Amino acid sequence: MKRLVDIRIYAGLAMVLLLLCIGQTTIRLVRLESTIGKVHWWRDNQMYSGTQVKAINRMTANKYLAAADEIKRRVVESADPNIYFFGGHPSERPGVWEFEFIPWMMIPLWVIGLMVLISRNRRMLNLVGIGFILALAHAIRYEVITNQAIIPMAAVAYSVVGMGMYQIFMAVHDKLKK
Amino acid sequence: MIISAAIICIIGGAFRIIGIDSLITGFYVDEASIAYNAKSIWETGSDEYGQKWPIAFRSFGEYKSPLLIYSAVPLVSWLGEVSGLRLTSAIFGTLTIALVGYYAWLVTERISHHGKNRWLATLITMAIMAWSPWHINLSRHGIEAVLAVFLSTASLVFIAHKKYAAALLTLFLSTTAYNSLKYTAPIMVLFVIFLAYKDGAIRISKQWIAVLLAWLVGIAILCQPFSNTRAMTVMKVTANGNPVREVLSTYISYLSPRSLVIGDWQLRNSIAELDNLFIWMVLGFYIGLVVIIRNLIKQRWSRDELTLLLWLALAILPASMTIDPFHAIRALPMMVPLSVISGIGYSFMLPKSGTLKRLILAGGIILLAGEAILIMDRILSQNSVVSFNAWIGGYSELIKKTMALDASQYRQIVVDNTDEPAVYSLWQVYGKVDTRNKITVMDYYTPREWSGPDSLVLGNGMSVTFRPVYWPMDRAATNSVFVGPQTRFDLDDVEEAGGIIIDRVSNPERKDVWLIVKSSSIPKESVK
Repeated sequence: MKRLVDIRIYAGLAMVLLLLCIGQTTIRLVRLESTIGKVHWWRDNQMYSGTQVKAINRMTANKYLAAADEIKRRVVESADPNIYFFGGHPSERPGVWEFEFIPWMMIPLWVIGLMVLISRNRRMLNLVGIGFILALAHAIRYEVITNQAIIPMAAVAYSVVGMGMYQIFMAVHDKLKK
Repeated sequence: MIISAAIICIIGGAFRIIGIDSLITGFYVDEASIAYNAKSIWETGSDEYGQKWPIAFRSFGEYKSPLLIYSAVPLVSWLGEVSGLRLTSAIFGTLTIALVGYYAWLVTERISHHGKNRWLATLITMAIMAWSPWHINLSRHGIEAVLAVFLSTASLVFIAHKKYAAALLTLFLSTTAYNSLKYTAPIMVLFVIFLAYKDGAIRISKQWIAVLLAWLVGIAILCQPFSNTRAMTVMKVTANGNPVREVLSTYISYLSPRSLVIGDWQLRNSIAELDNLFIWMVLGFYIGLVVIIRNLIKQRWSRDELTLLLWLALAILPASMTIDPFHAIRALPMMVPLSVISGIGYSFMLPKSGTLKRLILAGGIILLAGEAILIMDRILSQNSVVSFNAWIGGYSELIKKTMALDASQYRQIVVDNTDEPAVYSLWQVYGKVDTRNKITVMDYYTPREWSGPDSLVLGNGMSVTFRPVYWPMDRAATNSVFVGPQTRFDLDDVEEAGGIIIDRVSNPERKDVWLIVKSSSIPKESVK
């Protein structure tokens, strides 16, 4: 029970850290020229299309929405398994040196690792979850999700693959023992 | 709660219907072909080639599934091609929201083990389907996949009700609605037969004989070369080296948050400046998957969980076999299991009662209201500007302006088809081509290399010729009218060659996109 409570505190702290990173990144993003430029482009399109309701236009074209879009892009990009296993294939990112962090042949081990985490090992699932949140907090600070940005996330993926490998090893070991 | 479900359906319907008759963003060639054939069937009982009641509609070198065309006939005959076809699609899209909600209602109690959250799971599932930009965008256009999703949802409802014969008949119908279902529905049929056999539901009755006959006919049609023309042209499994790696990477990409949120790179297949799915929908999907997989592993699973997972696994397969990064239309059938699984995920996460639940729900309603405003803004303002070219925007105006010309004054009227060889279908619709004028074709059901008609006679008697316009050569043609994109003409040379820009069509940014150019009446030399 005590251990579970500890894990919850760590998970809470990780979430707070993620929220702080999101907040800091938002503040940084809303000041960027590219964000302001995007808002102007949205406003221009609203003008060209002739759908101008001032209150709604402001609500749907503002720098906070543009910043949220950018953070969302970074989040989904850093959580994309295709980047780790296939070097981004089939959606390679322009301007990024794509790199296969984990050989794609290890996908079955990754899936087994996920299954084990989901079904059996609650404590390990919490730990991996905390690792995932921290890796996300690290990644979203990068303007471009480069390999450097996702190294912690790759470590999380590796740990899941390791879980799968351990599970298979134990299964074979038990079989041989019998 | 029924009122909440009705409100979600009404809002979902509004997203799908408001502004669909607007041609600011154009009417794509595939839609035009479907709509014109529906009109042709209504007026003449045959398609544009004169084929009576086809079982597959020959179109642009492939064959379109027939069900949407036949389904669109009543509304096309009543409201015209554009509104009729798009309203048909929007109606199926809206009905899918209600049906998917009913399916979620049937299965969530058995799956989530959270009886008290059953209604909530249903409403969240409906909200995901109703608010999904992916499904909204495709429901607003005459796209076959929307009807296929409706039918596949109906088959899931029948499976949940253990009405296996009806499920098999609906699955058969779904194969006539969209190409990708031709390959996944037969696998689902085997699963349904297995369930029916396990329940002892297979017996000799009129219903089962009808099912057997339908599927015998269906298999005979599905095996024909014309049924598989589309698949043969898009299958690229071995295109880039290792086919296992190719298919696996694409398959996984359909489950990855990046693909699900960012969506299709093609502007037509998404709403400009809006996600494919909102991130909370994808998050709920992963939570739901964890719940279902945990149930499966702990052997607490029900047949509904198995059905959902199987449908999800199958729905991605045809799209991933084509190795495109993410194809919103081909993968649309996965919207149904995705929304139900997401509903299950949230119903599992939310507390059963108390202040926290009420607070979360209030927050959810505010979020949905904000997203509703965002969706309408993106559809009506951003999409109409950003996706103008992708939807061949402004072409209806171009045809109207061309038809207003006095054709007797010109030697010929040439329409450029360089970038879009199938553009003649837009002239059939907007040019009000008489459906009794059929295009000649040899051996209708034999796939062969395609080329569109060389010319059409429009509703006002004007004859237009279709071919690529190449101005350096065409400047020599005297007293001819050339219709095409601005990029096909060298404006300085048009002036130099004595040509005149008779009319033009601009995009919302006031830039010319389409031109109607008349060449000089005095012979000029072509530029070599």
